[in-house]
Amino acid sequence: MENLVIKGSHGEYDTPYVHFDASTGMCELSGESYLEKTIEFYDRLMKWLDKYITEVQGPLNFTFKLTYFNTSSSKRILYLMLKLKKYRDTGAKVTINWHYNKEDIEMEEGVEDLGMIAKLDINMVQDDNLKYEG
Amino acid sequence: MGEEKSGMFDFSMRGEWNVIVCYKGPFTRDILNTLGSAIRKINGRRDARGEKLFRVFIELSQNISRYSAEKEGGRESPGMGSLILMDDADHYRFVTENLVSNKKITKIMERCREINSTDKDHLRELKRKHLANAVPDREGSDIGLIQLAITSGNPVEIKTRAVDSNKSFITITVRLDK
Repeated sequence: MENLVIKGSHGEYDTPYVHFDASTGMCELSGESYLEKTIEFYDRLMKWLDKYITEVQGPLNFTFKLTYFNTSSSKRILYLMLKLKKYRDTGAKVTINWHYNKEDIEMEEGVEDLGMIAKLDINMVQDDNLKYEG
Repeated sequence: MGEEKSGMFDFSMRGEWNVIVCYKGPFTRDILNTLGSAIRKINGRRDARGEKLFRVFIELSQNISRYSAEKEGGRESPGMGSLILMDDADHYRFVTENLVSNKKITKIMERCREINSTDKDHLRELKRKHLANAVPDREGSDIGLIQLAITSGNPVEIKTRAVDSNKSFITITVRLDK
């Protein structure tokens, strides 16, 4: 199975960077997600996960380093988490680490809300590399 | 949408507000990114205040882009409207205006009342409820107004003005304390 890599664009644009590794189950979503057409973008991620869950059936270790996501993206990220929850409930090893800027209370609470809806444990990781800068 | 119908640009005659951004037209992806980048660096660099302004700007702009009843080129094209960001002494204020179908107004005003009559914890609860029940195959999440209230920490003010039996102008004001 192939990796999923979407270059995205940091700083000046709206699409996140995606690197899903089929051989290790390490998946990273970073940058920002405030694109308007979220369905098409996140569908690629969901389809990759479906394939991984069916064919590879290995562990999944998700790392989120998103510094902002709009409300449309929050719905898509929720669906991604619901899929991870369903997979974890089958006995699979699923870990989610969400890196955030400790000054960003809104992000911390927003992720907490997603975890509550999906009934999924999310490890919140304070990350100095995500501080406001530039 | 003519200025004489909008009323939003009256500030130019009065000159009493410090206008940082004023835009009228289609809310395209490029416009959002260009204006968004400028708003984010309102203090010359990225910081927490600029980030909040940016997030409010994106939600307000995408609201116009998606839901404005005025679009050139069909449903998938970006909606038209106006946005102003002002710097008052102790707060920033966004005002947006666009046309909306009259059929949607009752639901929007109900949501607005619901949002403005509750505190932050209940806003988050409301957000979770609506997000959990959002329609999967639609782009919007149905939580934009709630998020505006959470991010800004202030009530969201909405006014409407009928144009005809089908459409009205909707004006949304969001205030961010400094």
